[in-house]
Amino acid sequence: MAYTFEFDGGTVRAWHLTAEGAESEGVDYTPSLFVDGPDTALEALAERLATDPKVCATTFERRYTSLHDTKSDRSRVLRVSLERLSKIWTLADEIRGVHEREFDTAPGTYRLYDVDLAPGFRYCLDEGVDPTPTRELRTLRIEIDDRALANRTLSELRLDGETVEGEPAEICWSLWRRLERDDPDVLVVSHGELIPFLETVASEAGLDGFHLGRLPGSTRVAGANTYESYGQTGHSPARYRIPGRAVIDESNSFLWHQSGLDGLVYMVRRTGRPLQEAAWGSIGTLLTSRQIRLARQQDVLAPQNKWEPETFSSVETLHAADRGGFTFAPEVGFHENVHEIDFASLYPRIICQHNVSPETVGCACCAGDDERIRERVPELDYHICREDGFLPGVLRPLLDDRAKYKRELDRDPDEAAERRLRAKSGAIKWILVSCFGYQGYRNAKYGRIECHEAINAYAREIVLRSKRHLESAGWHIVHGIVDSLWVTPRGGGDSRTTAEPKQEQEPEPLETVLERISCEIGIELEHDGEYEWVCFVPLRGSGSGSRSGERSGTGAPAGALSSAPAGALSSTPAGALTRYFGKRTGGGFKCRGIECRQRSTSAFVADCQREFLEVLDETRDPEAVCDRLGRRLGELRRGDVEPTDLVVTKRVSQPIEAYQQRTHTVAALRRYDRHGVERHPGQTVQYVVVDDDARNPERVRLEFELEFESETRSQPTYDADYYAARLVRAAESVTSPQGWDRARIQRYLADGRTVQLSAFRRR
Amino acid sequence: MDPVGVRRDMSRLALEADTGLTVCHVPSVRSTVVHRLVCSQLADGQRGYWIDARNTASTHVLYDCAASPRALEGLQIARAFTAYQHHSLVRRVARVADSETALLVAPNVVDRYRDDDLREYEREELLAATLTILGELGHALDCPVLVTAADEDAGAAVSEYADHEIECLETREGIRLEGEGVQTDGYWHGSYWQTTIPYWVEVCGALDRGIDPVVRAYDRGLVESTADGEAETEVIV
Repeated sequence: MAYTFEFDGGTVRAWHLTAEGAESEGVDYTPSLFVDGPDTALEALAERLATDPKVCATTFERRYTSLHDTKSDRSRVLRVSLERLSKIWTLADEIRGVHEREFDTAPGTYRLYDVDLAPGFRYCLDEGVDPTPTRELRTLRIEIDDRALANRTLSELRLDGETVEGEPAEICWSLWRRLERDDPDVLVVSHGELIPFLETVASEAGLDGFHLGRLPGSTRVAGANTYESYGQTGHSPARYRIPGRAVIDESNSFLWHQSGLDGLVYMVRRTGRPLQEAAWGSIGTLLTSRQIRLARQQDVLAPQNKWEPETFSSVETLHAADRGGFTFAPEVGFHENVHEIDFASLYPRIICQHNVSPETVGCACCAGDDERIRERVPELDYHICREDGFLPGVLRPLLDDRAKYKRELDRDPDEAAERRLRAKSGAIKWILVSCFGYQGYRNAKYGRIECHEAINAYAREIVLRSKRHLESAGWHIVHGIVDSLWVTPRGGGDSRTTAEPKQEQEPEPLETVLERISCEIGIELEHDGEYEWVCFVPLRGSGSGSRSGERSGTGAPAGALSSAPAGALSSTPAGALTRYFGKRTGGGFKCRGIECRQRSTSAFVADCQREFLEVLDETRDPEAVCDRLGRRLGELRRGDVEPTDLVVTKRVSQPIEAYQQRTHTVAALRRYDRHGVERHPGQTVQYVVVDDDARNPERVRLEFELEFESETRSQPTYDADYYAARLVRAAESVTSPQGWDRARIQRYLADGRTVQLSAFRRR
Repeated sequence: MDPVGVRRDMSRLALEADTGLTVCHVPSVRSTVVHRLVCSQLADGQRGYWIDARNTASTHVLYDCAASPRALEGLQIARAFTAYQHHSLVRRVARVADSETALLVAPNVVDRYRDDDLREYEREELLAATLTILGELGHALDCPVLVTAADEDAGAAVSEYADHEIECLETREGIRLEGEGVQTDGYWHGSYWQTTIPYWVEVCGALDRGIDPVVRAYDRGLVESTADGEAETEVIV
């Protein structure tokens, strides 16, 4: 079977791996798209397309146009076959944009299917090709520096981590020899743009015949593009194909960074996307590909647009359905002897266990027949079909694989095997984490909001049942988000739970309770971690009197909290749901949502915050943390901190002209622009704040400008006040659970009292 | 405004609107005027359809506005997350709405048609089809159809198709509605919006009197009969 493909006109060049390298084969290929619509309209269209030179055949076939349809009959759809793959989009636009209008039918009369599939994926799908590599792949990694590429200068290249320097011709020559000698199957490039750049440099240097592929030439298959997803702006660079080698663009591959080649190859097997297309695919794209492939096996087409709406429902149903996962507002403060427990892969397991799928939730075949339905979704009036659902079929093999890899990992495999297992298990994890949210995503091909709601309803019920079990076994819940709970033995250990009744009995051993819950619910509740102490950080600016207690709902407005019981803790400040830190019983800290976890935090501030955590661990005393803060502030103000430790990384969210405010990011973008380095939304900027009060571009220096400035000794170095404020904020996160907010820290520091001995104990 | 007072006054609100499409120009996409109008209009459990965009249909706001949860029993809501779904919902309403239907609402009706995933050639036509169907449904069913527009562009796009326009103003005294069919002498908590149009059944009697709304829609060239489709009728424009 082939593993990488190029498309030229009506033929496909498919590359098969051999023991020595790879060989190609040219194959004729006729891709198709499908059109659904009223019969007369389809016939008119078929007639019209008969004279279209792009089209080589039209036939009527019976297919399902949605998963829902699998409960009834297949629709009669028009299959339109094309001479060339590259004309699919043109034809799709013409059907909707020209023919539909000329026939004077209502917009949306024609619904299109199998339009937006990546070419290699489409080919494999149509021809039943499994693109999983049949032997170990040989890779060559080629890296270039951002600035060198921006300035179009080639003086240095890294090949598999080894630096090659010299004249452009020499570098290209070395690379070429390397390609000839090793004959890699995969090129891992730091930037996709490196491909045309190296070819241009080689040709300018007179290296005739230089090529990166197994045959000459390269093709740009997609232009650069800026997009928005989940409210975040992203940038995807242009993509290139080279003959006979799969290209992995490190600047455009989530999975490569997460789980490397082993994770990618696993995804090739499970999704049917050839390696290069798996590499640039987002997690959503990979999940969709797997769905499309499995849907195809059931004769279900992949819709181009999402026409199928949710069903009309009563206010009562919508009210119950439109709630998120269950959360227990964290009890702000310092808690000792805390256990973190969570349900492993809760959402995908709910999907599999309760047969949740777009076509099973509220299916027509079981409607109104309580004998026939499999079950009802808690709180909602949705029923679930008894026939095996589509979505569980998508996820179950992934869950099983992951469980298998975990078991193998427990058996102490050698280092190489361990790395592979972790990579594959990691890749699966991302799909499992996304599968639930994706059901609610507006453009998910097979997503359905009712599934999303049903899954949430099950999750809420499961968490509430677990809570009841834990509490009756003598455990107290200090925090919980969706599938994780933090518990302490009631009465003992937890210093914050003064409101609990006295004379508690010893709680039942946690493992026993967990086993009972897992057994009852059918999804394993795991003991994830044990902490000497955990601090939950208050929301910034939340004073006393804020609500604490249980609440549910992610999309609900503030009014939704009215169901929270007014407990004994209602006078404590509100806790931030995802900001906490704790000391593991075995050593080491776990931090979430605080500064040292944020990539916009400079190394200096992050290091100091970790140091504050250690001080807190040793002393349990906010004053000692403040003393340490005082010392670090002194260093900062004396100019003793290396500017490179103060580099801040920010994500660009929009083009420079769209920024309303003259932020640091804007200042940095202007400076990048001066150097001719392009920065698109979705990419990052790195800078040091040198003078926060200065005119915009002068507020910051870019990371690489620092090197130059330190060589030339040209100042300024950094803005101490700006970083001092950041540092105090980082300290506040550590001390605020114990009631020390910024004002109190500053009062304490201003006191000028003798610092405690602990401030000097280290360093 | 004290919330209890508002709620008490809400129950007195009613919509004095003719059949056909009424656009309400609202100050923001989060405006809750449509929630209040729906609650007052459907107070006695009448049937209404709400085609939602941008998660406007907050059930919390609806419950807050309703005199009692029973007042919302006749309301059916479906949310659109794409323009295609929005348009499909409008067509679905055309199939399911009948003489019992007292109100159709589609807040922020233009918004989904501005999404990036629409091809330029279909953006305007799809919206035009949506608005035409909504307007014609109002006439065919003899019921008010209320849509909202929160900015000038949206307002202009909808005005072209609207039979009536009202303006929702936020003043220091509260929310005030201005336009034909709306009394302007009171503010939100005091105004009285009266239905003057008798409902279809009251006018034409039972369905066997021969003026089925779907038949009327068919006569207007709105509805096409399909033999093989899941539904009996499909609206075309």
